[in-house]
Amino acid sequence: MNLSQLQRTLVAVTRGDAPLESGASDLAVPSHRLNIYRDFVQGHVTAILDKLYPVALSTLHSRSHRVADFLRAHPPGHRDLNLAGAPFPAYLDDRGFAFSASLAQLEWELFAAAVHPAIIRAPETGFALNPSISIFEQFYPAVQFLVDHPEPDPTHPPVDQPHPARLDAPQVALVYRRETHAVAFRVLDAPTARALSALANDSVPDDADLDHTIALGVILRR
Amino acid sequence: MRFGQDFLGVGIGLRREHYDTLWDHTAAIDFVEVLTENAIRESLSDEHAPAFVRFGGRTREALDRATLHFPIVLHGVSLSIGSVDPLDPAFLDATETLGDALRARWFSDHLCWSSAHSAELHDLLPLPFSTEAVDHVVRRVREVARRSKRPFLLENPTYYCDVSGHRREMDEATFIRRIAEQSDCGLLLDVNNVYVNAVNHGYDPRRFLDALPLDRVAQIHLAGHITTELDHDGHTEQVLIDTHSRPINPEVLELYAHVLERTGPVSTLLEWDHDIPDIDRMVAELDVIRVTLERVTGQSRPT
Repeated sequence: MNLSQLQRTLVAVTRGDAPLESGASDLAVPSHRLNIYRDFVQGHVTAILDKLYPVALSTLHSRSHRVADFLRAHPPGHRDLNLAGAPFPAYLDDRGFAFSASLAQLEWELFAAAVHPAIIRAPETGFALNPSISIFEQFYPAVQFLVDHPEPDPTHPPVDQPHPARLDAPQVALVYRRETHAVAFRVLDAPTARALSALANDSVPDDADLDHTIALGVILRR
Repeated sequence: MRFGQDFLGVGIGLRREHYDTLWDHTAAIDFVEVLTENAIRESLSDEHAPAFVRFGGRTREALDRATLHFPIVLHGVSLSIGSVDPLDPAFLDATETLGDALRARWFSDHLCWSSAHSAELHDLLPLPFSTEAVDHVVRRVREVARRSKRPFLLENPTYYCDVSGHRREMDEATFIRRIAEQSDCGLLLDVNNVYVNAVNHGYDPRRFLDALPLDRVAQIHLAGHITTELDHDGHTEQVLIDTHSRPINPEVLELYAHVLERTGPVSTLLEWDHDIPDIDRMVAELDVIRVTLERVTGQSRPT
């Protein structure tokens, strides 16, 4: 077995695409030792989903089965382990878990805002739009759910509670990082929407809208 | 000087858990190691951004602050130097840019592979101890060295099974020696990994250490491990797992002293990546390392 064949075999075994026993036989290694690597490889993805999507996962039955199914559907292809978890919202949507998918989308945007490469700092003069802003539509009240359940409560697991109904019209969610590094999220309100619209049209927002958005940290001014 | 590199003293990895407290202990910590993958990443939010960008937020603030207080070294986990896939030039360029920004003294990664055939495993997979693997890794280390202006060190990893199969052509120490000497790279000697491998594969760690090209060791890693029990054919086997989640095992400290007797003072890093304790506990563990350094070499701080 040359190096390429060896690596192909180990990839297949550790991802669960090939049986452990046959892989161990091909590699002439004890299967229980080879299984250490399978546990590591699959455990890393499980751990990153737990880190990125604690609330979305808490709304799912058969959590471990769901993670294993996700791994088969979206085998990691990027060195950044966080990116291995990026398709999880779309995966949940594809499987019909629409509310959990909304939550996962929101949780992913919170992570992206936390690590956004921009420096969030008010300009010396005038004002500027916070560069970390992400705006997206959601058909479930994920923002309110995350406000109510900032961390999964083991005594009241969300999985045992009824999921909110689909909204008639989408909510617009706003996620951004403040100068303090804290990540904020909210449903886009009317003054903020007007201020953002004004900026998009190269206009100056109304004073009241400007004050409101500066207080939120959406627009930056000293 | 080790492999042309200064003795930096004792250090720890820059971890989020210590972003608020690290700065009160600058006198007790001589240098910090930055995990390359924690400091650069593909842009998540801007399709027009460069392929790799530095982190924003608290990580960036901590990196910028660390450059003011400590000498910095870079350590990676995803270079995949032993992979049959091509090296990623964008990642190498990003690592170099990061190294420049942090004024990193050197950068290191593991003598293993973590991706192959376009699959990312996010773990350190073993190489066979074969001439094919030696030649392959040597070519790639030379390519890495050509692209960088700072020294590159290879770390000896743990391995839980020997994948050399029936065609094992050399022992592990010879494998490391040939790669280091033929590629002319430095070594990051992980003494805990030596201990874990020696127990798991039943060899004498001191004989192993004595067979390494210790003149190339520019940095040492020390860490803790756990013992786990695995069922196999109706028997239970105890296997050590390199978890970086515990204090340093006393036998690992003895091996560390064995190395220092042959090398003199070497920049030494305490690795603690899981169940990370508070900074006071980290500093206390650094003091244990420092005592050994002082006892064996008569020097525990950089000059």
